Amino acid sequence: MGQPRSRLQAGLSLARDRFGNRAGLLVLPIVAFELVVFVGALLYLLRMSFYAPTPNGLYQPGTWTLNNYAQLVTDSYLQGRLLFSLQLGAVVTAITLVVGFVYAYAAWRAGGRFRAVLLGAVLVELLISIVIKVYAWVPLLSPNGTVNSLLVGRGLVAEPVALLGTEVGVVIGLVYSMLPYVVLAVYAVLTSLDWSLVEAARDLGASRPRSILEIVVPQAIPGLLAGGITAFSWSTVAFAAPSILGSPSERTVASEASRFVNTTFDWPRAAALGVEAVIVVVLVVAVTVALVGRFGPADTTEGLL
Amino acid sequence: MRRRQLGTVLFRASVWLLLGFVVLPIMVVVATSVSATPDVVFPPEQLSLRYYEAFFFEEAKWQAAFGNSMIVAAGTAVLATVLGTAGAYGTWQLAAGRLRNAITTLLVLPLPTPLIVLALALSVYFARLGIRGSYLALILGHTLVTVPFVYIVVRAVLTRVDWQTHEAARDLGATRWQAFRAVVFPQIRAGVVAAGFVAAILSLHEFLIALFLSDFSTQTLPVLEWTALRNFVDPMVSVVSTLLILAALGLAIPVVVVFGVDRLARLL
Repeated sequence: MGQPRSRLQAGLSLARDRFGNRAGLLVLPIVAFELVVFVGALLYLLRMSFYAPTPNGLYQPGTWTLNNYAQLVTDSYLQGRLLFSLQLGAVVTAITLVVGFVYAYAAWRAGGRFRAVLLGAVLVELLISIVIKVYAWVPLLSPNGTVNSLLVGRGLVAEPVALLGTEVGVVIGLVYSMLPYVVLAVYAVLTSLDWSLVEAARDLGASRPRSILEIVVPQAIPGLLAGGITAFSWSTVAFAAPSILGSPSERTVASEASRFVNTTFDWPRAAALGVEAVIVVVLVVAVTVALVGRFGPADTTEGLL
Repeated sequence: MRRRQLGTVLFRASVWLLLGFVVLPIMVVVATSVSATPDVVFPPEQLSLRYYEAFFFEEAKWQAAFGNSMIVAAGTAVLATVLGTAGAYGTWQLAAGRLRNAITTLLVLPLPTPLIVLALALSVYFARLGIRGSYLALILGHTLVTVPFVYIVVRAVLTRVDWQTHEAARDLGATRWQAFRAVVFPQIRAGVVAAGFVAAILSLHEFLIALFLSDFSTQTLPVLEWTALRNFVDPMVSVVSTLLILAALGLAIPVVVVFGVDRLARLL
């Protein structure tokens, strides 16, 4: 027992210094899990993107090549898909931020029960599978669906509008799925805002819209930024909504990556596309955060990145 | 004065419209599930429970997917709760500093990572390890995306613990484990169970990772819904979606009881 035991104890006491006390060692299982599953998988994806593909599928072990990335940059179809994905993400984010702000503001101002209803609705939506959220819009948006029969029935349009299978349908589905994240992020920030500031502005003669634009919106920027980052980075690489609510011209980089993995078994190319998508999205987000930090109100980007 | 009233009316109207925007699609799913006809229209023309009957008594593939979903959700809830709770308590006990910051960052990093990238990465990685398509792969994948929520929830619960009771127990001679077991754990138990329910809901409804990691024999309900949708719109999808929504609501009730809607809204 002697020798190994004391070495164990020495190791433990070293760990204790580092970890505060022995209970700190409880982080080890989850840290090991994240390293093996999360970091391991991402590193393997990165490695996969440097393998040479083979004609009969998957990859050639032991090879290193930059060809997959070179192909991405020169392939005008895939570049078009990337640009489309970014544009889709930007449109969805802009709409969701406006709608989400109004919703969060209403929840913040609403009294007890109505506030619970408003928040409860987005919380329920947050939990629901993306497949269900997207599927729900099919009977609403189809040519003889609910929206069109309302529009035609009221005489607003002469014949049914194409919504399903268009970018409009995809944007509606994505705004719907991103809304809870923006609402909750903005609401969390608004709860720490002092309403008497807004009242003071109004007592001094500011109109309602102006008091909101000049007092509430600047204070809500950390929430708008956090919600906006989520909405952008998720809708840019959306998969389910473009497939079900869009047409082939609404295919995103995620749709293409999925095709490479599951249909053509071109894993190195899928991996390179995934890596490219992450780099582009992170760059856009980083530039946005830097711009808001530079030109926005002070302290809004603290804790991000 | 009149302009202001008009503004208020417009604002209220738009809030109700937005609430409708959030709630209506959920109602559509539930309403179309009790349709008597195979075409999915809202509002349904005739009501019947025939597709529920079909789900529970006839369709073997949906029942198999139901079983797969249960296995994966239960496995995920257990693994994520154990890892997340230990991790939250561990980081709570860690001395402040770079190590703690690095660990907390690592633990929440899977959250902002795009799901498609996680799905791609796990798919090729698990294929290499030879476990792609197994329940283990699905449970590990779902644990990866749900454990940050468990961690965040339990961390929030720990801030409400009366730590003086812990000190008192230690002063009276309890070991750390005894103090945790007898004094701290009873104070966080409800929160830990709630966190496990959240993990179970998220796993039941997770789609993209399940799509990439499952095979024909392990596919979960959202994956089978997806496959069904690719062919044609099927009322069975409404039935399964309604059941999944009801399961989420049922599991969410205890969570709301523990935290309250308002606190939960700020937590997630």
